[in-house]
Amino acid sequence: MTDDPGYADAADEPHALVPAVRRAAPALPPAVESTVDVAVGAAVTVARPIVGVTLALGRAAQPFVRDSVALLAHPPLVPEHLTLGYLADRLGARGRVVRRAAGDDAVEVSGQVLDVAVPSVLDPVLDRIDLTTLVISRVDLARLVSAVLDRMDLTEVVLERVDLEPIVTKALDGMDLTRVVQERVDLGAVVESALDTIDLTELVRTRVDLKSIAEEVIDEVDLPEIIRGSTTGVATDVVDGGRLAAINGDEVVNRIVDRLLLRRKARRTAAAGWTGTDDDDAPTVTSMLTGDAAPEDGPDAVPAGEQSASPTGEETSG
Amino acid sequence: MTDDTTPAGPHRLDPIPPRAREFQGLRAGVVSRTAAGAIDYALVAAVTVGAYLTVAVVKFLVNPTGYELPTWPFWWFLVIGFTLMVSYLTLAFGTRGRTLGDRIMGLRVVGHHGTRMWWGIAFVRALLCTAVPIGLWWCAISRENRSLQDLFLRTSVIHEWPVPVQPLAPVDRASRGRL
Repeated sequence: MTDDPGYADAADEPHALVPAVRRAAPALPPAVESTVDVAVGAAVTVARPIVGVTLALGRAAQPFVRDSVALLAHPPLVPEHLTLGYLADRLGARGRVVRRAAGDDAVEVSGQVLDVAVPSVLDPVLDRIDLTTLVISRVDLARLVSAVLDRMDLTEVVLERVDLEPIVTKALDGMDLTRVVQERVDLGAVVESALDTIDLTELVRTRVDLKSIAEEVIDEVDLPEIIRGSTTGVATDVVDGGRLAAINGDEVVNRIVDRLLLRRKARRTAAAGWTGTDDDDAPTVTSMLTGDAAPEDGPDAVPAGEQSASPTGEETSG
Repeated sequence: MTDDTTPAGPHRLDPIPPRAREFQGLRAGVVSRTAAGAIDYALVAAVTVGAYLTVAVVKFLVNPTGYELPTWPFWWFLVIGFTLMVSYLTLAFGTRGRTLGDRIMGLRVVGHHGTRMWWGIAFVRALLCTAVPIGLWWCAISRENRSLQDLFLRTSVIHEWPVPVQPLAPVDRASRGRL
């Protein structure tokens, strides 16, 4: 509004703001106000019948006046080109032509006049009023904004006009995005949806170097030891099955004998003092023969580590 | 299977099947012990016959021309077998408390206090087991699953399955090439 240099100085000077919105009419002194009221009342009282009578007479005389004017404009027995009506029509036609010819010039001239007059008037006016308050108080901003938003593609405007990167960066700096995602996002549903739309197998095949991974795994895993372990597992299962079958046989025989002997109480088969002593607490025959035997005062005093590794992973004994 | 309180030690898989764990430390019955004894008798019998065959082969090598199959009277076999059996059982009872048959059947012979027995006790028990093998079957009648030898010497034969006590050997990287 102050781009024109001619108004820069004037705009720079501060003006006292005039209240743009008047909450009530200006108050007059009581004496003057009552006098004015009396005068207005008297004028209205007198003028109302006069105006009424005048309007009634006018309406009554209107046909007579119209016929009289028509008779004067086109009197009988007078040649048409000499009548007042003909003359008035000719003058009207000429004036119309002149008006139309001068219309464009008048618009241009009036535009030039407005170019000069409007800024010189509008700028001082705007300097003196609080336009913000005026807009806030007189304009339905909600309706205005709604209408504007209806007419424009706000997304496109933001994408074209707004530098989103610094905004997003600042927002991310000020928030714990991980916590927000954990609290607000159903990660299970997201992952499930993603997996539904992704061919994971194909993705792994195309993106993962399976060959190098397989080679790395094979390098790290001792495959011969695994094969030996699985073979040992089969042999151990056979031995365990035989032992369990013998235990079942023990139970059957015990039941039969107890029934024959009419026993009602269960057998007392718990060995006293047994604490799950392992074989590595006892000396081996080899250690005995080589003089490395452990003392006889119990397994607790026998040093561990006597066991040797058999193919089944168990210790060997005599 | 991941019971940290097993005798195998903490943080190790228990190799004993769950069904058998409840029997560990209990005196074994007649079937298990008979099976273990049968294995031991078969072993000693095989060694005895092997001794006879060894003598026969050596005799053939010494004098192949005038070779005659050695003729041992039956009581020789009995004496050799008896001696081998007593020696074998004494060594087994006095050391780990297991014979080969006991080991296969998951048994262990322990003394009165549940520990390894004294050598003298081991010898006497071996003698009794060899001389009176039928005494083993008394455990079927005994309320405490004790044989006659156990009653006489206050020993017990319990279920104690041997477990692997040695961790897996370190990786033998050189063996990969031979696979």
